Amino acid sequence: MNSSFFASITSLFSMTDEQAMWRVRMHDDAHAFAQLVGRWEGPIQRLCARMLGDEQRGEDLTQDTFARLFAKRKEYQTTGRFSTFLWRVALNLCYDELRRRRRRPESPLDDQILEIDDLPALTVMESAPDAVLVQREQGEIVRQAVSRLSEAYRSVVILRHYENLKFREIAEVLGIPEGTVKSRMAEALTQLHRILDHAFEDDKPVLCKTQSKRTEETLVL
Amino acid sequence: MQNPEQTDRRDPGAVNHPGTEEWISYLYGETPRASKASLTAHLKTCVTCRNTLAPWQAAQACLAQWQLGAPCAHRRFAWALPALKWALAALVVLGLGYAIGRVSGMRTDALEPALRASLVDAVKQQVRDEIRADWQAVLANSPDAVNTDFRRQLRSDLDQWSARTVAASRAESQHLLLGFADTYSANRQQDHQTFLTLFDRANQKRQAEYVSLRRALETVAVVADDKFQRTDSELGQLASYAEARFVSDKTSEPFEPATQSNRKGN
Repeated sequence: MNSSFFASITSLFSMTDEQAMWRVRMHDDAHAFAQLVGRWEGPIQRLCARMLGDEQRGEDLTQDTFARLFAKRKEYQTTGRFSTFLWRVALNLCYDELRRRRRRPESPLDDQILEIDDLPALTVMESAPDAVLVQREQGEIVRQAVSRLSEAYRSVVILRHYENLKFREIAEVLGIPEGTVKSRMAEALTQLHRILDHAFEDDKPVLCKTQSKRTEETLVL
Repeated sequence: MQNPEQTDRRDPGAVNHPGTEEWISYLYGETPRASKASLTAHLKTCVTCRNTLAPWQAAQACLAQWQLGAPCAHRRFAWALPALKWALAALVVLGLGYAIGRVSGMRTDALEPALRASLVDAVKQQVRDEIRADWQAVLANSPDAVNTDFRRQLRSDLDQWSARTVAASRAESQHLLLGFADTYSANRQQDHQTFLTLFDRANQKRQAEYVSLRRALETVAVVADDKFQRTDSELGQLASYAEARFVSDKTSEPFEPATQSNRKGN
């Protein structure tokens, strides 16, 4: 919290993303581009990793995203938001990669159901190793469930739920009306619930179900 | 399966259920404050809507199980940055005003130390109050307005800078083009001169070779003519010698009358 607040204060004295991108576009400013990479590497890496369901490939695609960003720097409109432009570039690369995978499947891990014995052994046991294992297993199930969504629904879920973009911002990134984004979100949540309900029905009690009850109580009260 | 895009249904009864988009905004905290209260009140009493939201909330809770890393730090306080920038700008302006006032004002050397100290304290307090008031005013304003002002200012600055940059780049391009044209013309003239020089040199060489060849041919012709003449005279001499010898042989040999048998044998 303190470090992030400090980072926000220091960012007051640095260029905004739009200023940095303008410098990259007009002067090929390497320093400004390095600042943009430093600021956005994490979010783009998470987006790519979640869209592909593969963290390693997500890192590769992050590098490709910034390479394409530099290649397309002349296409950036100074009146638009830099983040919208960057999200769009990254999402297009993710779509290309997913299309390539569909044509030539090369990752059998995506379709495997991870068993508890397949999880890597913990060399350093934390305070509650069984809880860690359960959380990992549930995370893997959620990853597979998200991967089963179509690209249109998956991108909306990841941008809204994990990257915390507003529905209005997602609509700008995807170039669709805000109402369509919300409808896709609702449909994605419905499909996710159906998939996860089926996946978790053998693993009761389920942590996220108990959390959902708590969330519901919070909302209602 | 029921399609949520079509769940914006209206109960034929007295209760009007909010639509899908409203509930999704509500779930993610994007509902305005007034609507949020009414939606919460509706949810308390409406079983249908609670049943609609329950699977979405369960899926939401499950999504939190898939963690990759910490959220991006610089986005957490992004909403406060414009206000903080304006506050800092106000602080700088006030500080500058205070410093200029102190420098350009009457000299305090002549004042009593107590009076000077009280004035300094009063000014400090006043500046502090003004800064606090400006800070509160900036924070009290809607962040959207501050954000909009900042964007408008930034956009106008960017337009001015881009216009200046375009004008400067155009002038520089014209200058470079003129320089390029001059250089191209000079190089072309130099190439032309070089070509003419080489052509003249080749022509002279060709003429010199032509003259040399002609001399050689004339020499060959003269020598050949001389040889022909000498050969002709030698042939004439040889013919005269042969004729004289034939005559002398005829006259010196005794006459042998040719017999009939010899003739026949020959």
